[in-house]
Amino acid sequence: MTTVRKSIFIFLGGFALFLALILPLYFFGELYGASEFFSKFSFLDFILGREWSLSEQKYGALPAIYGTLTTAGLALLITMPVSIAAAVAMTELLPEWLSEKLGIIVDVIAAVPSVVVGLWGIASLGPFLSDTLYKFLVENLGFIPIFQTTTLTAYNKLTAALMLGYMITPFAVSVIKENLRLVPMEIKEAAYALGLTKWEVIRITLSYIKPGIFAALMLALGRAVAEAVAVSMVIGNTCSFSVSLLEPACTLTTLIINNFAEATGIEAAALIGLGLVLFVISILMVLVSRLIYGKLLGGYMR
Amino acid sequence: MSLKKLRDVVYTGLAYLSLLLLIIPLAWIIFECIIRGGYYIVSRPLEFFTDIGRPPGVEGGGIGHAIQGSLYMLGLALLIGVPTGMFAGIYLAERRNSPIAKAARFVSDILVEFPTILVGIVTYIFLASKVTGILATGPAAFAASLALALIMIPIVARSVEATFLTIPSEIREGAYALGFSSGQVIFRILLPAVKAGVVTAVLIGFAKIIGESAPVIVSNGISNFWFSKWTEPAPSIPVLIYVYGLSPFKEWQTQAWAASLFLLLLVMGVGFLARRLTKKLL
Repeated sequence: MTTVRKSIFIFLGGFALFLALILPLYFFGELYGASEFFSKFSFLDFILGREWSLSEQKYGALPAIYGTLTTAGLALLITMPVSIAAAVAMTELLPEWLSEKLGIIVDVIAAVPSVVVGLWGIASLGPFLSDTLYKFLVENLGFIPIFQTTTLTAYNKLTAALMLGYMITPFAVSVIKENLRLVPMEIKEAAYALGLTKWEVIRITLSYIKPGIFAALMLALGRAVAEAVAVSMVIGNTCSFSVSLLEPACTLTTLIINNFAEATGIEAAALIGLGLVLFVISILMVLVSRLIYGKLLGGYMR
Repeated sequence: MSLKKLRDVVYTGLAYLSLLLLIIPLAWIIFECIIRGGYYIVSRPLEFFTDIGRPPGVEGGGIGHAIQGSLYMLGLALLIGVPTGMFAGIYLAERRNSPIAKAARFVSDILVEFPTILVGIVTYIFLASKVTGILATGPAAFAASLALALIMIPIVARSVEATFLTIPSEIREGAYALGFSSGQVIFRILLPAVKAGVVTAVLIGFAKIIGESAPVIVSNGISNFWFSKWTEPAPSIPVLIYVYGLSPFKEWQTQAWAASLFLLLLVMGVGFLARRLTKKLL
């Protein structure tokens, strides 16, 4: 009898063990795939290399890292105010039934396949922005380096960042909403009892869940870094170090997605090396946000 | 009006504006899909869903091959991903404090946020790559299927775990007291009790992989023909949208929008089903 009882858990445990081993497997796979590249090129030259050129056999990851960090960072800046305001509106301002309906819409936005968002970006959003916003920026604010461009195109870092910002907002909204719901009623009641206005109370609740907001935004940033297809469709795919937001760029994921299918030999291994960099960046982000969340579990999130 | 009140009004207005900023792009996307692609589906529905794509510049054609390829790919992914995710999830719930469960929980929390493109790269390296792969065939459909399965496993596992944890422990204790074995308790008593929850878990995982394109592109490559072999690149709906959308040909772009509309409805339908089941559960 006892052996029967045990054996089913050995069976199930095997699957759980497999699940636990997936991540080490990914890491090992990435290392294994990139080993051919790192046996010929030094890791430092790869990370700090300023040029990615197949014909010259130059594999430098820096422009892609730069592109990833700027677009994802910019997307985060766009998401931050919108997601906080939307979460506040849904939990504190609107009636329950309406905010529930909006919650469904937020879920739908999160579920839209990234390639569909990318199609929208390339055929609708990009051309629209370049006719309106970008034209305005170049004509009126062109003296600022970040808005300078020689040839105005619809596909650049700003388009990618705006689109990414939209794609990651739903996650940030749901996590911030969850945090807002967990704020003890006593705190709000005490604040109202002091005669504070609604928004002063909301400011207090927001400062109360600051770590939660930070964790939510870190998760959103991780998603922005990880996004591949949609970004590759609108970023213009030309590696550069330009500070201008209206210039095209490349990112870690776009270099991989554009070249991996046809790549062979050392180029494929170099692309896998880019994947390794992406691996480390996204794991770091998730871990930091989990760490903060873990700390929260001892605080207000009980 | 005092300054404080005015500030309240301004802030409230900004909060509502943020909601508009959320809704408008979604409405815009759906609108464009309907306007630019909807008419193509309506004007030749049979051709669209059953026929293969035409070469650029030629009128007509459909996404039948991509639907077929997606069915194969998603089918194999479900076949691998559902049992694995479900069994792992049951273990996480029933052996909550074992070291394996703790490790698996930690890992799956990371995997849920993991860049999916890397999953495709890894299955390509291990299975399909001509240099390092076990089967060494070059970009192949089964590598994409395995990638999709690996993407859905942690999601299914965590959702199944969550549903199993809703079962009161009295039911387990009662069943064990009657002398049932663990296997009987889990598969005859607990699993039927949370059927709807498990189906929801599978739907959530499925919704996540229907629209995945990045891992498919890197592990399976791009194909615009009917599905032929597991060791060859296969077409799929998301990748077709990617290729057609980036192409300069008007006919292909129209079909990219039509396929987007179809995919969007599919994803929303699965999400709707999952929500309905969750409501029934509560």
